[in-house]
Amino acid sequence: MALVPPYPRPPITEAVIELQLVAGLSQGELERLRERQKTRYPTIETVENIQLNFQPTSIATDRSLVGFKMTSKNAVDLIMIQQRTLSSVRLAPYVGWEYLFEKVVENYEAFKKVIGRREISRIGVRFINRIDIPLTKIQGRDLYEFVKVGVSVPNGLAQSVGEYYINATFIEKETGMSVRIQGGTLVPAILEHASILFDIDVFIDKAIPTREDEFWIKLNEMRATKNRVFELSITDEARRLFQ
Amino acid sequence: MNNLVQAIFQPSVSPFSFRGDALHQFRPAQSITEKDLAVSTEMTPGYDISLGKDRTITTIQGKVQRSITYKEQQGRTFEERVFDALVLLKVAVSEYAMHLDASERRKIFEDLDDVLNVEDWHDGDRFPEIASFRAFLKWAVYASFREWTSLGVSDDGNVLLAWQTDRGLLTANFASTGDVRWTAKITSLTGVEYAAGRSTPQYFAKQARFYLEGTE
Repeated sequence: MALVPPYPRPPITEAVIELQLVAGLSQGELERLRERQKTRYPTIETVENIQLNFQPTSIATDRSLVGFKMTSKNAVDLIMIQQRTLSSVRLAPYVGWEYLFEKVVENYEAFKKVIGRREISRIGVRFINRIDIPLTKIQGRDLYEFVKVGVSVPNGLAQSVGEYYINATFIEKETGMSVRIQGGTLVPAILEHASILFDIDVFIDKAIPTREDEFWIKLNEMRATKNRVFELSITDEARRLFQ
Repeated sequence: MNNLVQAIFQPSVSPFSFRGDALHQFRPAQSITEKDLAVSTEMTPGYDISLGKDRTITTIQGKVQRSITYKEQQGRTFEERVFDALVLLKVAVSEYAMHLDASERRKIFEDLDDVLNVEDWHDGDRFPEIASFRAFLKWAVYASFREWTSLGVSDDGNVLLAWQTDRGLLTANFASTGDVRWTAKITSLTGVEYAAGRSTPQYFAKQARFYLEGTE
């Protein structure tokens, strides 16, 4: 299937490339990575797990560092450095795969300089889309006229489908890659609009290339799969919203 | 029970502010009742809660584990805190970026850089409320009426906009709730007219069109 040229107004709210590590990073390594990246990503937030253990007569608390969320000066490029994952994130406006890919490579190189090459157990290419449909366009119409993924209600039961949420995984036909999709209605982000979530996570957790050149080729293939899932799941009516 | 409240709501990680999917969903309480813990028990099933006759919790047994994201405030300089507040507002713009042209987004960023800087702000000043800023962005996308003359921030953190045109002056104060308080001063054939109101964002869009363009 031919790739559709980039849309002028893509509905992508968040694009995430996530590398999951076989062995977790120590607190020291996380902090060294944070220091390495803080010039490029100066706004730093700490992510912690807090556990409260309630006993009849006492409460024990336990805190542990999960990692850091770091935001660049442009406020749209982020990294998430966590014990088992390294994520490069791009918020809207999405300006294209090439830009994101370049950031991923940059971040991976910085990661390698600090802690060396690590075995990767999973690669994820996740694109979170929010499709905002003007109420004037959707009133009296079916959501399937915009997004082909949703819930099915038996004939004759419901007048129309209201709020819904789906979460499904499948193996993509052409490439054999794993895909998780999540979709549903959202609180409208824009006045006089309905907002629909369409979250695509293409991932592989087997046969991950160890050679770097093959690794990057695989990442590009995953992007093509993500595009295929997206394009097959939306209609021309939806595409017109992104022009 | 007050110790328990503190353990939940003020764990020993202060000072910090919660963001995202964090413990901020818990709300403080003077004494814990079944109602007070409704949110947390829903999120983390597995509690054993015993209630007394007055519906006050007598014992709780179980574990809660939540992931929180927070920004260290201790040791941050004033310049760094201003910068962080600025980045937070710019991140909020990304939620609406697909409905804004590059030039419109740039204008908002430039206005923010102009408004929120270390020269004009002092330690202790209240930074812009993110909910008010979102209300303004939603309105701006909806109204397609973006040629404001200036953007500012009120003492209580609300976003302020002003338009100065040949017809007159229109000001707007965007509350975190989404309501807009506005004033208008226009010159008509009969003299200078004044008007003020508190409206929904949709209605304010109509008002703005009327006062600035003379159309509805």
